[in-house]
Amino acid sequence: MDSELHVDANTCPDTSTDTDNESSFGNSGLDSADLDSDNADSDSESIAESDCDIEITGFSHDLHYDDAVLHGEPVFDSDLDGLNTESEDFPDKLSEFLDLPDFDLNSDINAEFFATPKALDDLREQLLDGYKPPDECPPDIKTGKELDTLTRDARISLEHFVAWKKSNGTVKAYEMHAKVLASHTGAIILTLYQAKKLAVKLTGFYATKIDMCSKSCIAYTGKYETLDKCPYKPVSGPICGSPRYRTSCKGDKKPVAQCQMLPIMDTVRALFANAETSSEMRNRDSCLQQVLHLAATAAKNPHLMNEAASGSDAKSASSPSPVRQYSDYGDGQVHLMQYEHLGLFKDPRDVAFALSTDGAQLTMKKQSNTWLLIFIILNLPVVIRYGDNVVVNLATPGPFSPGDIESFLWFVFTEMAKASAGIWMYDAVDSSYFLNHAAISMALGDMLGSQKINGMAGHMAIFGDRFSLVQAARSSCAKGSKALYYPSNPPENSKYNPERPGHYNLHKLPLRTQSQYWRIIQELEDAQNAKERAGIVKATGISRLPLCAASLAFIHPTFFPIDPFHLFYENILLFIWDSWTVHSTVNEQVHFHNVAEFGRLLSEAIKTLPPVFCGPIRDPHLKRQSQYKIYEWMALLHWYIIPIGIETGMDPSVLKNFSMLVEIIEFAMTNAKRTDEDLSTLQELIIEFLTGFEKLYVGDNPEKIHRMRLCIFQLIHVPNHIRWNGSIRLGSQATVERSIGEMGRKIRSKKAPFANLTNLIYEKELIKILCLYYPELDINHKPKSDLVADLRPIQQHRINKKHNHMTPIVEKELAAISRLIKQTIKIEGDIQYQRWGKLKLLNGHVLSSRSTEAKNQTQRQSFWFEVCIICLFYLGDMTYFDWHYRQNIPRHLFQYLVKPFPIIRSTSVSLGLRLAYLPFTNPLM
Amino acid sequence: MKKTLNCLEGEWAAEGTMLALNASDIISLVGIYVGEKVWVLRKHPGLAMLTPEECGIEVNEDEEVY
Repeated sequence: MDSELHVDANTCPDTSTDTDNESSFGNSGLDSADLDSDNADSDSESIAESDCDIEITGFSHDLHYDDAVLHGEPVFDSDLDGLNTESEDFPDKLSEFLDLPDFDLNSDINAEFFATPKALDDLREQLLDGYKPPDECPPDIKTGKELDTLTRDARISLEHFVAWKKSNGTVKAYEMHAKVLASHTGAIILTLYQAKKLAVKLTGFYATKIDMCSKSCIAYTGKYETLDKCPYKPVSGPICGSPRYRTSCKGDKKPVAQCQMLPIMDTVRALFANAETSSEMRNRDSCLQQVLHLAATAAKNPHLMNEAASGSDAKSASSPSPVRQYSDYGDGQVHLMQYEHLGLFKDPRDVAFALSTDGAQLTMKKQSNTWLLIFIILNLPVVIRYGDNVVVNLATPGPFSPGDIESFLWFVFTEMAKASAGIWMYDAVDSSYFLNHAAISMALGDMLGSQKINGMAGHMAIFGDRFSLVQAARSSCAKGSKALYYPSNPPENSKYNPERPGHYNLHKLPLRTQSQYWRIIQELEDAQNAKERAGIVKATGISRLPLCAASLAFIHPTFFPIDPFHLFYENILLFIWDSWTVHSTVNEQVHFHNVAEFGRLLSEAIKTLPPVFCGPIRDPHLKRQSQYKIYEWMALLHWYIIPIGIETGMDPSVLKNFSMLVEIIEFAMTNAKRTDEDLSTLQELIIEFLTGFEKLYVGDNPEKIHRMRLCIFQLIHVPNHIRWNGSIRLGSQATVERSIGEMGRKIRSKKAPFANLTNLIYEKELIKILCLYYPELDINHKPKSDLVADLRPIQQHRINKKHNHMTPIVEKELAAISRLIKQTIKIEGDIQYQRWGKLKLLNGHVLSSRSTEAKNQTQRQSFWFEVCIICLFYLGDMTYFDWHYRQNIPRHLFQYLVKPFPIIRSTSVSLGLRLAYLPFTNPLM
Repeated sequence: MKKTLNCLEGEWAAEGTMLALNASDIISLVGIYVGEKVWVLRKHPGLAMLTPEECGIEVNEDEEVY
């Protein structure tokens, strides 16, 4: 969905919702005591006497499960409306194909899995255009060793150029600082133009310019390559017909408009030429090797796997049972399948990409739409994969959104076709040249973005779910009503949806498969006319062969994964909130009567929310329609709806059902390793949620099945996504939206924002590649060994030992520490201690202490605490920190929140107490 | 403390007690909501996907301005 560049990742919710709230709110009559007692048996879990690590790492209680879902990408299929399908028997064929979504690693994949349609084979051949990698490495491969040949002036100029660019300086700033530099060093500083030219020469990084329609309809590539005018016909309106060329005053033929595309493999080449990043690029293979090792171990020791599968206690076994875990792309099922069955990624250095695209409006002017394409390098570890390591590859220069976006992607796929065949590059780790192979493994997009590239009929089609062949249902018998909803057990089905199965078993859905997909593509290719073709589209939800299928790593339907970012925090949550407030009547169980009171309490609650975590959360009752931001929805979902809902008398069944959704989302989004058992549990929870949701929100009213929207149903695909890609977070569109925001903020030219954007994108990548080849040009570069962070205490507080060695508060603190470590700390003797005011965490955040605040006489009015602990830190002499709640907070919460247990390990005792290092393993944020 | 609908719920303790904890025990804690009960708010995974600006935190864009 388009979003404005200057707006953050929050995109528009469903704008079709009614903005008026019901006025007759009342109380449901159930108080919180009723709710508590109601939940005492099932959901309440006393933790007072148990270990109390309150990190969110997994399910808090036992659940039941199986398989699961995702989010909706719409596709508008108005052309197909009204067509009668002649393939009513089509769903019956689905059971034949269950080769991927739930494929078993031990099962054989049938031959049809590899039976690619001829159209795809032709497409791949066309993209490759006869390319074959040379047998010998070409002599001009960049290695990053050319810097020594530069003059001193050139080197200083490049350092200046890098610093200037990284600080987002103006041209004037470059010139002025260059003069200062020259005056003090005597060096001749290159002009900006010369410095950039030198950087280009050193890196060999050149952009490709592609002719395009001046109205953004198409790029003149592929089937459009030889045309002189735009042939594009929008859904409504005539053929564009804009000319490709204009004649210059000299009589030359010039393209009217062009867009820039950057060669992604130049970045990859630079990453391998840098020893540090070359090592990081092997992370994908490290994950894969762990899975392969596990599989080999299991094959050799089947009894271990049997024990694991039967739930035997691993600790009691003679050796630990190997358990498959999913955490990232490298250990997901899809990657294993690409390796084992598609023959890809055989070299540890072979590269997998995720491609992501989204639209944005560059300025407030309407005609400033642009589409960005980014590459995410899946070889890199997650911690460094995003941010600066994301490659912005293409930005269409407007003025409108692209009509045929695949024509803009054509050169991307021609480059990738060659990259899959092999490209020579230099590896700084092995100090050798090698033939690298690369492929796109997934393509990410929100509803509109994905629709443009996935070749599916879209969310409004009868088979609008792109992961299953579950048929959509109508909520009305009225003529023209559309099948858009996904109940599993709808009432009066035979009357409302006579052609639809009356029941879908959520444990065994007809999932889409690649074998079936290839066959449908072939059928589309063989269709004799438009009507026949439209019938296939309507009966399958597949409309064409997408360009993305040209990737050798393409697998259907995993190639276009769910975007959890939008699914969870916008589509689902907004829909449920509106169902509670404006899209339900006061007599309904799901209606939230006290929404105004909820809003008031929320406003009060914000006072105890530290601003370091997020901005203020506005009253959704009043501000729901005022660009309520995604972090606000997150706060409602994860923090406030349940507590305030309980206290404002929200229906307990509705809240209980909602709490399952919260648990599902927390589990899915938490960055942690998951086992098949975890995912089975997740699936059962999702099925329980969906079943309960349908019962609560639809009940026995067939016209309320409109509440079973695709976004709700697609939750069922979440566990499979975690299996496929290791983590559902991989599908997030937040990355590309962030790139759009970052680029947008740097645009200075209001007159020519597209040209400005084009330069920004190119220069950002140029500087990155330059610094990969020549890291010493970056004044801020530090070798990795210098980046080892530690927990550093700062702001030492003086203790007047002569007169007051042990104040009452110090005695109290030491007594508390004694309880924590279950050892007595003697306040006399050999223990030396220091008091510190602050502790700098690994993430750069600084914890401040009560001591600091007392010393500085802080007069904060905030009614929250950031940290409330005392902890020990021992480095030779004993050092301790005291973190306390801020003033105005009752000071004794935590003795009830967390049962202390000795993480600090006691070691030898010779002179008083010696303590090992306190493991701050995962500090705040 | 107990869990209600997967949320930590409790009451304030009496004045006068102090307890030592490891920082790692509370790393997910971001705040509290005090209504009829005291509710503990834990760091949620969505925050990790957002930049400070996207979280509604004011970021000083002009670090060089002083």
